[in-house]
Amino acid sequence: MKKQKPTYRLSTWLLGLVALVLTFSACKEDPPLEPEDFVYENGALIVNEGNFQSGNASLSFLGLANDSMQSDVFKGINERPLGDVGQSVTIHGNRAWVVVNNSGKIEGLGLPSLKTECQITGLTSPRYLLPLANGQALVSDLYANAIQIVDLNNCTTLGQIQTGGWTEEMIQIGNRIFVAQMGTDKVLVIDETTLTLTDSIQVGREPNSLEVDQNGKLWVLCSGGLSEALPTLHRIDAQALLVEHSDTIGVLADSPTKLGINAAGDRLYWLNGDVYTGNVAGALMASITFAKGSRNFYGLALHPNSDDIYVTDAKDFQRKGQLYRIRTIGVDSFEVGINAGGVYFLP
Amino acid sequence: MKRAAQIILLCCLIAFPSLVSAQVDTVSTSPSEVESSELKVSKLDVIMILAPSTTHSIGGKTHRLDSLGLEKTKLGTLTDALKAMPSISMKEYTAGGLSTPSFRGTGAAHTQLYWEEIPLNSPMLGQQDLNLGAGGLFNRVEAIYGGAGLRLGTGSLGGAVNLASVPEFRREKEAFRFDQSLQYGSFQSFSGNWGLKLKLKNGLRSQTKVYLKSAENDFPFVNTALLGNPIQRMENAKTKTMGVFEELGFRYKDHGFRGMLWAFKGDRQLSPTMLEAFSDERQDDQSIRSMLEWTFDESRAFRAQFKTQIAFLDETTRYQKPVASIDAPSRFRRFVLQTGFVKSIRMQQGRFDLSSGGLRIMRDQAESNGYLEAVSQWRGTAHLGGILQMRKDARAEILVREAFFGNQFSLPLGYLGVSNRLFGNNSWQLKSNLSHNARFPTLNDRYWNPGGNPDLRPERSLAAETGMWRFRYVNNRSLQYGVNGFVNHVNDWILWLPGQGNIWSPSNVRTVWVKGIEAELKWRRQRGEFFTDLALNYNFSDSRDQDGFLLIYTPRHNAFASLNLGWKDFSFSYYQDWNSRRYTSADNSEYISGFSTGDASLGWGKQFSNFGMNLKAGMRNIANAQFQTVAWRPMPGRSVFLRLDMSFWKERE
Repeated sequence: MKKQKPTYRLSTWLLGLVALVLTFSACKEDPPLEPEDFVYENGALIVNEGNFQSGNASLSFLGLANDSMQSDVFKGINERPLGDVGQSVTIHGNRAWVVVNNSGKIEGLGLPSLKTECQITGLTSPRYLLPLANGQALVSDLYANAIQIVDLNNCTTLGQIQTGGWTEEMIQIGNRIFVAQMGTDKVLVIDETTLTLTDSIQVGREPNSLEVDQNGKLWVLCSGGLSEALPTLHRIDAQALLVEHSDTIGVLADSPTKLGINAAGDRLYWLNGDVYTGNVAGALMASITFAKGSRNFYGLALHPNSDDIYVTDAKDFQRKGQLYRIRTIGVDSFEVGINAGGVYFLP
Repeated sequence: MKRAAQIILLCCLIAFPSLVSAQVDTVSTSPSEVESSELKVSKLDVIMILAPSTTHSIGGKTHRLDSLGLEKTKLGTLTDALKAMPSISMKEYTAGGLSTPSFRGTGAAHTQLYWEEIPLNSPMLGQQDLNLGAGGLFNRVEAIYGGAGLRLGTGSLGGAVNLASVPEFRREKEAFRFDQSLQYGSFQSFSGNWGLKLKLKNGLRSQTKVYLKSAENDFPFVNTALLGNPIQRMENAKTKTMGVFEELGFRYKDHGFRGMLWAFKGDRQLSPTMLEAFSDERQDDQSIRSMLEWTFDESRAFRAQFKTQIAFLDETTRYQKPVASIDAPSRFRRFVLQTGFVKSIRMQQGRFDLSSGGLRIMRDQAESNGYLEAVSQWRGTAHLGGILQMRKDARAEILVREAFFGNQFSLPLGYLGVSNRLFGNNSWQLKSNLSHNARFPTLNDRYWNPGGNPDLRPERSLAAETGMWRFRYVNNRSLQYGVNGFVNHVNDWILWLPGQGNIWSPSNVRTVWVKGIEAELKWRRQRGEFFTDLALNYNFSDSRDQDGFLLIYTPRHNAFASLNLGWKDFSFSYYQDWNSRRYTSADNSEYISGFSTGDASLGWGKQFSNFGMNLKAGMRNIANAQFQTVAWRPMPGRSVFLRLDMSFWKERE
């Protein structure tokens, strides 16, 4: 007997279609919160450098209330990539100023939305931004041989202070601004009132990061360059502009970076492969507080209130990294973007 | 038959005058030559048109750019030439910028480039910039896939490309010939080739070629990195390349002598990415390549051609970035002495014959401000090959190669290929091979300061491939199709990673598995005054590291189709390619989208007694696709060109 081919009426097809639509309708979830609706506060903003000329810099956000990590938040909110080499973030007033090094720009992001409110463009190779009291800011630069003076209200450049060479981190103590000058063994001193270069202090080779301790002393971390000198840490009297104390903190092949300080201002932290710590008073007594193991620590920050330590692992610089949070109760970790180099805390 | 062949020849010469400068494929028993025993056609010119473009030495795959391909890329670069070949994906920083190939899913340094079998890859970077090489200098451009590249040397873990000028037999009567090709196009691009060939008494012949290419490359592109995706114009992308090529040769009885010189200069601005504010980078390259060659055809006792070559290369690159006060010149000089033989084989069942052998000694010397001092190295390799006629329809080739590098010797490298006719039919072939190859670390890998690692081991590859191919030629129609599968396991892959003090240093850390399939079909037909050529290619390669991630910039899928039509004095050509996404981060979290582009051209040509000309107009990227082959570096959208070829010649009295 010949097998009869099954036939289906139109109504059967329609019924099936309706059932299918209903099935998917039933599964439909509430629409996810759009990025622009989200409030970015009480969290850590992680700047992922990305790779040079690869245009893959990004921002990640870790909400500290619920430990939820969001990746690439800038692109989600502003519908474009952040740029090429995300360098640093400065939280000032109601904006987060994101310095994008190889895009030659600074994004002024409104808080807590992280929407771009303005851009400062036309910069050569900006590194760090230091706000001043008068609504202006200084921007250090890798190639410009000068520090740029910018207006944070109008997002314009106003002028520059000739420095010669690569300028890196800056810090203000009183009316003096101290600038780490890479490629040299100097910390430059700028007068805030006149915005002129007034002095320089001899330190170790390649000063890269600066902190102020509880006593108002300036601490300068020098990497030693590419095996050019031993890495050193210096304590400077910011009034007398004199180096009070120096410590060698590694061997010739080491290259320590990312000096940080705790909320009380009595304990320093830095990266030298592992996470190191030392006292600001008396002998430094440097010791490892978090060993790297097989990790490649690249960024370091301390929470301004809790003293929790945040360390980033850039792995091989070619893939997404990891953020480690070291607390008294233990260590946890979160995935971040490529080459996470800085962690900044939003109130 | 004779009449038909004459018509075919005439049509081809009219439609594609530059065929006149192409060479004749010689039929040889050498394993590196084409197995064209299927072609029993008496007219050599017809063979040129209808011969298979993908050819097979014993067990391996070789793709030779055919006359149509040579004609199309005459005014282009080596990038254009290799784009027309299967299983090769290009990574171009922008039009005219740095360009490197990836064969069968491997890295740029795993493609070895040869000029007349002289290694050209830089000993510093281990690769060659294909946009510096002119496409019109050579009449034989040949890609050898996988382990079969061991015939030319070591390091071809993906494949090898050989560029050659093969003496032309076709116009023995020509005493003088002048060719000129000029092309103007969008973005103020100009390309010119001038060639002068002289055939003097006593067998002395000379070939001189001069070329000039320049472009503003100020093409518009959609900047997807900016809000609103505005249209911008490319900046700082000007390129200018000029070169000269001279070949002088003569024959005396069984001896052949050639002297060759290839010199060029390239000045290129390096454009910014979509996310950079500006770029003032530039790179200037200069190269002088020279070679002397002596061949001896011994036809009585050993029945082989012996060849000895001496070559000297002197190449300078200067990278500048004024804003960062960077001025980084580098230079390498290479001296090569190589000698070898290729033997004619008498095929006899069960008989094993020595088929080839050779020795190459190379001395590289390099200077760079990345080195503490000038560095140098000796390298060398020796090989012996043999062919076994296993059965009437099956042959095997065995090649053993040993290489030294400074005071290190490689493990024995080798190639075993088997070709087997199938179904009792001459047109079907089963090809399989196994190979063991190695690539030695570059001078930068070993001596860069800081980070260089002098203790690196060579990268080692163990590869296998097999495929079925068919080539048929019937009544002025040829059909070639086949499918090939390959696997390649690379150990000790060298990778630069951050080390102590965040100083990058290379080490042998990666293991890579590459698997792939290649399929192609080529159909050609000559019917009266119509000529049709259709080619379809599909390639799949899956290259994964030990963590299971796909290697960056190695698309898994790519395909292309081309159609060439000729009718009387007119020709039409269309080319379309498809490329899948390529990952740009090691964990495959970022990628560039796939893209497809199409090119078309229309030509008209006329040939007179001692003068020929061809006029062609074309459009590239017809659909104005916005695409990138390197992240955030846009490639040109739609563009047009107009080309004029003219040839004058005089025959000997």
